[in-house]
Amino acid sequence: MKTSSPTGMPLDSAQRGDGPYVWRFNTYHRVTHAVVIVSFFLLTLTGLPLRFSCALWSVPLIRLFGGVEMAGTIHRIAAVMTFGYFGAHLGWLAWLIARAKDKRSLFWGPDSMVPQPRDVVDFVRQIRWYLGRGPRPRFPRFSYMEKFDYFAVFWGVFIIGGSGLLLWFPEFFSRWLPGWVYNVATVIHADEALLASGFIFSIHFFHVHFRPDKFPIDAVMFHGRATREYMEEEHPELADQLPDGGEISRTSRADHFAPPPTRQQTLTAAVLGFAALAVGILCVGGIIWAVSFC
Amino acid sequence: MNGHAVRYLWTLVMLPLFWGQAVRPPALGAQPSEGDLAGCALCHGNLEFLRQHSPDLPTAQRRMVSMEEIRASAHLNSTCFSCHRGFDRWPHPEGTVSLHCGSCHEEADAGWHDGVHGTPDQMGAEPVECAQCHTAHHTATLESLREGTAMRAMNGVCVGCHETSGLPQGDPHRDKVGCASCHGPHETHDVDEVHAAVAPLNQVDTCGACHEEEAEWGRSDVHGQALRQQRPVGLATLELLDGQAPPTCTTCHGAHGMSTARGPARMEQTTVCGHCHEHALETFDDSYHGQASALGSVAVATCSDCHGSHAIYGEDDPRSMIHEENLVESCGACHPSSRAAFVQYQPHADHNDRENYPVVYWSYRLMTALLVGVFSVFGLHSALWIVRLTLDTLRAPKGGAA
Repeated sequence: MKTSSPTGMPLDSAQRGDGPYVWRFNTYHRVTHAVVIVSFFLLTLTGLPLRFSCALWSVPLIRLFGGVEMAGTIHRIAAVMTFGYFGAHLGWLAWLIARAKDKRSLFWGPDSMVPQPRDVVDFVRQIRWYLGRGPRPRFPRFSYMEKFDYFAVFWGVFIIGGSGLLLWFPEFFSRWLPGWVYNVATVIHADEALLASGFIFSIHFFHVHFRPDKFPIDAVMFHGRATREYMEEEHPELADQLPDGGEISRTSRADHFAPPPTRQQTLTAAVLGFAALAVGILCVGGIIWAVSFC
Repeated sequence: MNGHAVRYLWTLVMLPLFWGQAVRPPALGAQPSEGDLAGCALCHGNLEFLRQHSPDLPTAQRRMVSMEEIRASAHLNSTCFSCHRGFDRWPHPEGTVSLHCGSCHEEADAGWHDGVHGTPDQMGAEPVECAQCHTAHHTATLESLREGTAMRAMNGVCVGCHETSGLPQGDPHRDKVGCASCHGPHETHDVDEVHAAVAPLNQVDTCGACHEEEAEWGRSDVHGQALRQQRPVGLATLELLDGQAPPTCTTCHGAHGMSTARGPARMEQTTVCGHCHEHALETFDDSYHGQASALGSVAVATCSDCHGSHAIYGEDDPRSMIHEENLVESCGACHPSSRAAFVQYQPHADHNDRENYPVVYWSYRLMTALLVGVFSVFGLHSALWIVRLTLDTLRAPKGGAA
């Protein structure tokens, strides 16, 4: 049963149109995304007050986390979570590659996460579509925006995590590195983190909440499945290859048919999504406040 | 018959013995005998009698002398007549007046005359007399006034008039230091006068009387030397100089209601030092030390942790905590395995200063360009998406966006 939003559209845009559902994200993907959400929010909420210590809201926020020292500890725990999911993901990738019969398709082609020339073409087509000069591009399994999001996390963990480790253990790293590295690490850590949080809380939220065809929320990453209609609009190239019928997989096997999300699952996903949205928007507000008034 | 009546009768009986003759000639500096005191006390210990011979009760009460008071007094080694010259006859001859305290205490008297208490103030208030602070007979000894009950009692006398000047709870000097220790006992001046013990240029000596080590540093370090080059100025004048005036003891520590160095004062350091060292404060605020400090961390370094508090010298001075020879030790106070490479960190790096901090400058520029670039591209990308979908929805006859 579909849960509707006040506009009459389904609350969850991954449930738009009529049946059947297909699996898009498996349990590993969804658990990783959940861990990313939790650690990312902890890092952001304990880091932003430090970056904008001049802003009015910084002291109350840091008190909420039990003071600077406690916030620092939480920040480091969330950092360990981040390195944890990052390491686990590298392991997952290694396992994927080892298990794959057709290894080439992991690195190239319509099912690959790796950016390739067609993504540039898709980008140009997207711009042409914006300007009314062509049809909407037909994305494969992952659109260029999704690839950007995915590699942004890689880049972010590498850059922010790396500079964060330097700043966490400066005495240790000074065996090999000169002191001015910490000055640079401070600048990079702060601004790259600002880029990451700003990007997630505005651009990523636009893609999953505010796009008119996704509004008010796209919960596909929470319950893992989407309707055929959703797939045809978001990933038409992949949708064309989906079978017309078949068995329903309960183990979230990719591209297999899925049972519709229960009302309970939909509501849970919506509540989590909107909570994250609210906190994220408050963060963006805080950043804009601090940048304007500090 | 009650006790008062007996004592009154006793005075009447004994009085003829002293009539018209000297009551023992006093020898200055000699221990007053019980007889001396008893002779005077015969009348001055008897309120009933004094009242008979005084115009009114308050005068009689003022003329009362308690033997206990005399015995506890600093004047124990003088006789009554050392001060009350000519009163050794009874009836006391007309026109005899007691000596002024200044006859013996010349230095105190001169100081008193100079200070605010010896001169009528601008409001026309009468000078404050010796006895108003010391009382006539219970003159506490100099030693006892420096500590304990006598000191606290004397502070109470000061606060009696200077009602708002008592040290508040938590002030480390409260009940431990007398008002006079800082303000001077007799030559008390208004704080904005050049000669006041608490005037800016005198503070290092006044505070240094107890805090010797700090004062010694304070005389030689950059602030002390800058202070010495100032012509004598009062506090008010120094405040007018504003950002240009070198700090004195009270600039950092406050005066009444100061707090101990580890307390709130530590958190106020950046504000106090930053009042003059504005650029240093700005760059400090951009650093982790400054940011955590602003959020209330007392563990991170603030001004004095790196620069010292009383022995502050420029970075080229080998005595300076931030001289390159001393940095490993200075930073090592918080960062135990600090080493030469580690202390190359620039705690006051300015990301807008290309000349002195080129690497930080370019890192900051690069990051800013990255941020502006990413947000511009994706902001526009998102905005256009909304426009396109909205246009499509409006144009589509029914439902079916895109």
